[in-house]
Amino acid sequence: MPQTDTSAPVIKDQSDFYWESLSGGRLVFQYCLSCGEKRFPFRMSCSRCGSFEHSIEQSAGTGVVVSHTRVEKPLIGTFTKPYHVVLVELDEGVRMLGVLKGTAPAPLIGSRVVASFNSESPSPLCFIPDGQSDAS
Amino acid sequence: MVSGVSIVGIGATDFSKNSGRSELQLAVEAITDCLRDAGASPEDVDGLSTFTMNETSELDIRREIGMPDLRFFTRVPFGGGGGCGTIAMAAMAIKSGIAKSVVAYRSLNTASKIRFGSGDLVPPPESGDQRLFVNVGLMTPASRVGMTAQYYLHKFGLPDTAYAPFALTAREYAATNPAAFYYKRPLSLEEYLDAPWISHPLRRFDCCQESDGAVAILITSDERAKDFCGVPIKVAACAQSCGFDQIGLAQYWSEDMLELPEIPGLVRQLQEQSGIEVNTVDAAMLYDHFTPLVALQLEQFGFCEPGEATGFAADGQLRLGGALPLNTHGGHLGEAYLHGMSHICEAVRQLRGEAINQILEVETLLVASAAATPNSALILTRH
Ligand SMILES: [Zn+2]
Repeated sequence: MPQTDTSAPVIKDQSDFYWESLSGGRLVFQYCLSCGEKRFPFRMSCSRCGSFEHSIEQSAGTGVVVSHTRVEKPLIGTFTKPYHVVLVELDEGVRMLGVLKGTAPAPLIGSRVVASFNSESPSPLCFIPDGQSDAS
Repeated sequence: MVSGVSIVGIGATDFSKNSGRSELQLAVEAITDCLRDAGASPEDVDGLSTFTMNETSELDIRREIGMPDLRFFTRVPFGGGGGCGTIAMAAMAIKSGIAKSVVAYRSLNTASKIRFGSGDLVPPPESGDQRLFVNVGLMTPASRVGMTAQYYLHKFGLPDTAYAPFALTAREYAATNPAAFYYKRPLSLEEYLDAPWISHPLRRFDCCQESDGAVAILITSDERAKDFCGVPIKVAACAQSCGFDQIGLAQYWSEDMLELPEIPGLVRQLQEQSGIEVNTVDAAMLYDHFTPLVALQLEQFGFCEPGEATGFAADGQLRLGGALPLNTHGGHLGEAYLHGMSHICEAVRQLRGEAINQILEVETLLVASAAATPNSALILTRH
């Protein structure tokens, strides 16, 4: 049985902590204290061992592109022109989604990227091809 | 086990891009057509089964159809994944004795009212996994599937034209089907390539249409089936399955992101119930929301080896006379998008021997609902 800590703050959604950290420029994931599984997206319990006990770890923000898609027709006002979404496997071993920033026409699967937060993109998390500057 | 249950009637409205009628009216028209097909009257039906997403009320359906006794009514969640599940619910109610005969139906104005592909149904990104997708601009099903489809091409070294044969085959079937939106309008490779990108590598014709219309299917026991006029089609198996750690249309966090985590559970149940190896059926009606997901279904239901489905389609194996005739009505890509319910109707027509694009020898058929979501499937056979 999971122990309920009644003094803990009320969590509306278990991913709140991820989004709050992102807005502070920190890329975080969960780490199962029972079996060591690294976990993302945020979940209450570990899908491998069932434990609710976990810590929050910070990623260095570097990784490789697992896949990508260029969305041609923006649908929501904040995304105003075609944009490239990338699925990135971070070096810590968890995958995250972000919008590709920079001038490269298409990221190659397997190419290295770095996380970027101080962006004008509507996405709170972007990735830049390794070696390109954040200014583009 | 569900043995002893049959489909005895199918009905539909016309399929269009602007029905000009309410979803209630469409549902009533389809159910009336279904009862006519079965030679049934409203007194014969005491159950209704539909999708949680359906926007009509059972109260209204009962009143407008004039059903004197409505004792069983249920809904299946997860959008298109629930299609064959509506038949499974009906079968369980009939087998348990709760209901005599159940109408499963779906009525929707997705072309003229709420377009799934427009992001209209995107919930506010406040919680859960939706927030992950919406915040990076993966608002639509097509954009989420694009990510998976790109990875498939990369993994198997295929060109970005690899999915074309699925679209072309569907449009070939639709071209001879008067009920299809693309009736008399086959698709050339050139037109396929010239169509706009939606979300790479998906082009316009890799994506299902959005349509207005309704479909209804009447299910009853084998004993009662004799009271109706048509040839009853046997529900040899019906199953629902939800994958572990499944995320709808985006299995990005699975070790293998091409995995359709609900499929092994479907295959196991279908085989246990029917005694039929799923990959030995004579034909299939597979949910064609997006061509890459048809490829993954063909592979994961066991009709092809991993990476071979696009070649299988290019070889003509999905056509009449091929190894596995697929979606012979034109499916969602060619006929209309009715959340997979029209696929069940086409399976029934094939087994009755009255399809427009009739398969010469067909005894067993697989029907599967929306892959990559919590899902459902059927094996239908002749008696
Ligand atoms: Zn664990």
